[in-house]
Amino acid sequence: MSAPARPRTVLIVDDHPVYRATVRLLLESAGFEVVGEAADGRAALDLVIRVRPELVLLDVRLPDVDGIDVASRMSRGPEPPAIILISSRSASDYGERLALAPVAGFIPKARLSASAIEALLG
Amino acid sequence: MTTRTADRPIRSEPLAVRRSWRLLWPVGLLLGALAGLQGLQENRSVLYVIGEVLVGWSLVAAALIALERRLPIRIVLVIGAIFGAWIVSSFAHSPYPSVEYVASSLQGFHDPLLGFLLLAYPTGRLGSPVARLVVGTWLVAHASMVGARFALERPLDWYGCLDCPGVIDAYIADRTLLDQLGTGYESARVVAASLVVAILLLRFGRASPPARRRMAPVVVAGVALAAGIAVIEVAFGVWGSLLQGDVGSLVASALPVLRILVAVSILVAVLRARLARASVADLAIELQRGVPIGGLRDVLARALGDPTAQILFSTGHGAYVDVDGRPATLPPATSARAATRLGSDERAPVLVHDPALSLDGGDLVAAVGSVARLALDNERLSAEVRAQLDEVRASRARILEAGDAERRRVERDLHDGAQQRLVALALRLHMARDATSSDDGGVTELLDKASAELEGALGELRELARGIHPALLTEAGLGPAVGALAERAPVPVAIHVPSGRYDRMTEATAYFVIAEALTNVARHAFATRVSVSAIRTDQELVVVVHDDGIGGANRELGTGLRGLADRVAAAGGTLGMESPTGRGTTVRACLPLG
Repeated sequence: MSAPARPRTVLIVDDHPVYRATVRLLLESAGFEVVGEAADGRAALDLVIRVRPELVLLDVRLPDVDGIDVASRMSRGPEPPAIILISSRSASDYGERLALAPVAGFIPKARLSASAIEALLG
Repeated sequence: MTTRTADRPIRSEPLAVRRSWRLLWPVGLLLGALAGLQGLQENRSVLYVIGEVLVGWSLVAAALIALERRLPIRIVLVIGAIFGAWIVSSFAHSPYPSVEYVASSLQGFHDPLLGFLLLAYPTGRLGSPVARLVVGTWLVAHASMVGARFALERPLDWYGCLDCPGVIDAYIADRTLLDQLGTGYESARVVAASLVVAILLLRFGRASPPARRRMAPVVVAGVALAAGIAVIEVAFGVWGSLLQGDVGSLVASALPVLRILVAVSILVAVLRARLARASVADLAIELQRGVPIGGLRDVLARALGDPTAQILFSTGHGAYVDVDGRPATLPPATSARAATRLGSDERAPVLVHDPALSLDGGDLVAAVGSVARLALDNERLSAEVRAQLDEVRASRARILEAGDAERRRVERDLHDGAQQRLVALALRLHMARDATSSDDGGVTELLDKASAELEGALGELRELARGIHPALLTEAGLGPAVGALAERAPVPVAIHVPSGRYDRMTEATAYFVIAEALTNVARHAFATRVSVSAIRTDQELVVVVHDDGIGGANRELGTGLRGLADRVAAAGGTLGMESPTGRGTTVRACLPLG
């Protein structure tokens, strides 16, 4: 992983506004700076170039592009951010695809927390 | 295409017409005998006379049977004309000079007419411009030669010399022109006869099997005669000096023999249509023995001698189905197929066949249709049932597809709705828990319990959504979805599923078969390992789940498997299970592809 060890700027990518709002609250209270929110894959790919976040919290299931594909495309760009996939499903629902994705890790949505993020990013 | 109706055969014609045909028989046979017996006056051999009589009678019989069998009238007229030309020719050696003069001048017309018949058989039409040109040129050339003979030759008695020797040539002042015309005509005859051979062979090569059977005797005899005319004409032209005397007579006598052969071949060809009715008797016996449902087409095709024959059943409003109940259409007008409705009813079955079978009035088709009427009714009912069954199958597949679509929608709704709200709630509980101080009088503990409860509810909701329709199957296909199933299974699972996608129904059916089989293994099999394999062939996907458990499973007892069998059948496949006691259980589903 090429991202800094303790990133502070975060882009939240999820198509559910209630969940995005909750995550923003959680992260900001933990000292992160939420630099952007995207509701689909295309907007996320556009924002990641414009706002250059250090970390992207990326929902696996997006309405347009598959989250794992979005992660692959983000990771191919210059100075790619650290990416953590999130989902309301469990990791086993995605089988090998998660293991092969170019991401720092996977956190079930209900267990997302600053400590879970920092544990994954070291 | 003209759709003919075959249940009104020739019996519907006025009886008087049929009787008048019969009167032609004694007249024709008498004429044939008289012309043949002319040879006796010329002191010919008995064999020659018998041959002549046989030629005449063969032609008479061929013409009248062709008339009765409703062959095209042109065929009848051409045979009649050949018969007339043959009678005229038989008087070419008459002891009466005037008769000899007229007959010998007119003789030989039967050859171009035979060329016409050979190329026009059995349709009565010459067909191609080349055939018309060949026959037309031959006839015109012969007529010109006849005209020249009349113009340049005179019978002896016309000159008042009744006692002169009977050699006309001696009284012609200059034979040069006639000889030159004769040489030119002989060359034209060779070319025309050769072209007739070529056209006959070409047509025979291109003809359909029923048309070939019909043409075969005429083509064989016709090729022999036309080739004989060309070869003998050339032989006399090149080796004329060698073919003198007995040798020349022997070679020249080949042509009358070949003409007899053609006359007999036409009779045989015409009679063969009648003989074909013997196949109708065989058909009746075969039908009485019983024909398996769906097998009637083959039986009728055999009886008609047309392997391409098809039966179409009307379903009303101009729509048709074939014997398998599949939608079908009548051949278009431009196609090389004929269609005969086997009955006067608009909904009577239609036989699509080779047009050669219609040439003699379609009597064979009509006879076959009449004999097979009952079997055709059975076949029609069977085709209707099959068509309905196909519709039921299609409808069952549509219901299954609609059910799967609904499952996918419910799973998506659960994911996008309740699940998202609950995960957001879980996060807020965590935040509340983090914001609460340790001495809050039990609030922390309360929040921890609430979080745990919520975690449990979310887990159950995930299981529910997964059971309704696994999102991984939709998003990544059978292989990854089965991989996820295997990860959660309590028994080690070896997976051999090829990568690649199938249609949604096949993927979902295969997945649910595997999921149900793995659930049964976990619950009942006491197995130590399971293997899941999927084998893709051109036509189907075969899914096999095998365990090394105790076996003895009864498919009738498991509602899950019974339901799955219905689901597999709705997808057009089959589900089987082998479970010998003590030797594990194998579930096998074969699902059609595409």
